[in-house]
Amino acid sequence: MEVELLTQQEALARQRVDVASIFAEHHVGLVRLALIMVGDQTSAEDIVQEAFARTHAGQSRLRDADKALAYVRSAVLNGCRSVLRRRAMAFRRAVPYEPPVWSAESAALMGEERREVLLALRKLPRRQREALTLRYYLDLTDQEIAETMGTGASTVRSTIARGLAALGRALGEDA
Amino acid sequence: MNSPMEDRLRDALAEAGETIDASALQPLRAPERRRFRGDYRLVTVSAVVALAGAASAVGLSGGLGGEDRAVATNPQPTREMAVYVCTESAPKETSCHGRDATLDELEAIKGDLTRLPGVESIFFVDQVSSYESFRREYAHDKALLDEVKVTDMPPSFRVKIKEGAAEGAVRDIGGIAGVRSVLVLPSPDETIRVNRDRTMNVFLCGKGTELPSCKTEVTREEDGVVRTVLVGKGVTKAQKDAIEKIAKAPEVESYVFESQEMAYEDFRRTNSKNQVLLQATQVKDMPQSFRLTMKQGADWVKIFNMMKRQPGVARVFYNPCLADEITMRYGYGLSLPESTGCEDKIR
Repeated sequence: MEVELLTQQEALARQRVDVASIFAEHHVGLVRLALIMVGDQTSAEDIVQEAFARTHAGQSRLRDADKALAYVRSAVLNGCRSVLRRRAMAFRRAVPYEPPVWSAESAALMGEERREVLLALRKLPRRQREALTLRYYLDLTDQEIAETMGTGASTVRSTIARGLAALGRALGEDA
Repeated sequence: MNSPMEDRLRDALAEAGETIDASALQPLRAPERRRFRGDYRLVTVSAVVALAGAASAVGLSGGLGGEDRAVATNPQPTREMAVYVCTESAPKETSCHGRDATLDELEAIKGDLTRLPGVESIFFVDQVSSYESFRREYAHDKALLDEVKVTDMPPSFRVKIKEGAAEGAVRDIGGIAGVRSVLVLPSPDETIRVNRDRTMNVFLCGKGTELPSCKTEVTREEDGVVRTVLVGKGVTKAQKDAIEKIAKAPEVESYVFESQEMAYEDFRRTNSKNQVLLQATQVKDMPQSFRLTMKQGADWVKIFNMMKRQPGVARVFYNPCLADEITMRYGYGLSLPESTGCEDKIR
């Protein structure tokens, strides 16, 4: 195998390119994922930038280059969690208020029906919300979602099923 | 196996994602090794350049080297000038050679000043009293106070002269040993005008703008070695549109776009006496900018932050913050390594 012929340093160099280029390639997608999670573009961009900076700094610790994308997504997801947690606490004042894209204030950006769905999604427990977003926005497989969220694939399956059912109930659908 | 719920969710997520305009995204930046912000070591020359634009924007024309000249729109009976003398702490770029002005030199400066025609009064401000008044004036800015020591303050002769009389002659004092710089202080009228100013200047990236905000990092691999190269880029049409959209926010009273030609016209007017500078400067060297007038009491920090993070924006200055820097430079003879605009105040 080619990989085994590389010296350790070359292998490291390779991984470094991988992480940086993954960010470059998926930048818009990652920002969009963060936007769906946190609701405003400013925070979303900051989360991705921060995740990028952190991966950049800790690049040599990344062992498995194949998992880089999952790693990057996890980093973004973690950033989203931190932002949401911070918002839930008293720090809210320090963060300039920007209405989420699906709020009534920015109704011009999205249709009424879509906003309803997103508002319902927002009210779900964190894990369900994340699993549903990764599945229905990024179209990831159970295994990929499991890697991103750091759980097992079967947990992902049941979480998604429960999430969908809860969403259906919230929106008054029988799905 | 797609249920209607799944489809609805998919659509909603896709639409939410679409609200992000990929072309107006802030580029990713690699972490910086060193932080430059908030570094208040006192170096003159770069600050003179940084403040040149600022000074002309707030009505103090000139600002480059010996060309400091305050416009007397409202003739005052007297003007005050400051002759800053050398200290050991003075930056290399000055003619101080890293030593304090000697007593003999101080005597000579004082003697020369008293002999000048049109001089009404002279008084000497020493390091300690300058430092005390500095601490009073900037009591709100702890970070700044921490950086500036009493030995950083240059002592100065404050010279009151009759309007139009001896300005040039006082400036010639700048050539004698022990003098660090000679500045005409803004008149009270000008100070008030500066303080009332609510203009935010948003300078856009030009093709060769050497500012980190205008550079995009490009990663290249050469012979197995990864190099990151910074490439300066001019503002694009899409970026300009996005910036203009922010300029239409309710916090903004009015805005104008200043093209390179307009900026050059302005530049030519303010520097009409400096032929060398004029000949060396071309229209394409001038930055494009948006000039926003903020509404009284509006949330300028919000607009400032939005503008600052907008791709294609080189720098944002909010003039009221610069007023502080101008006071530091004119009133205390101090200057910052790089004008920080308002950055340090809103962090």
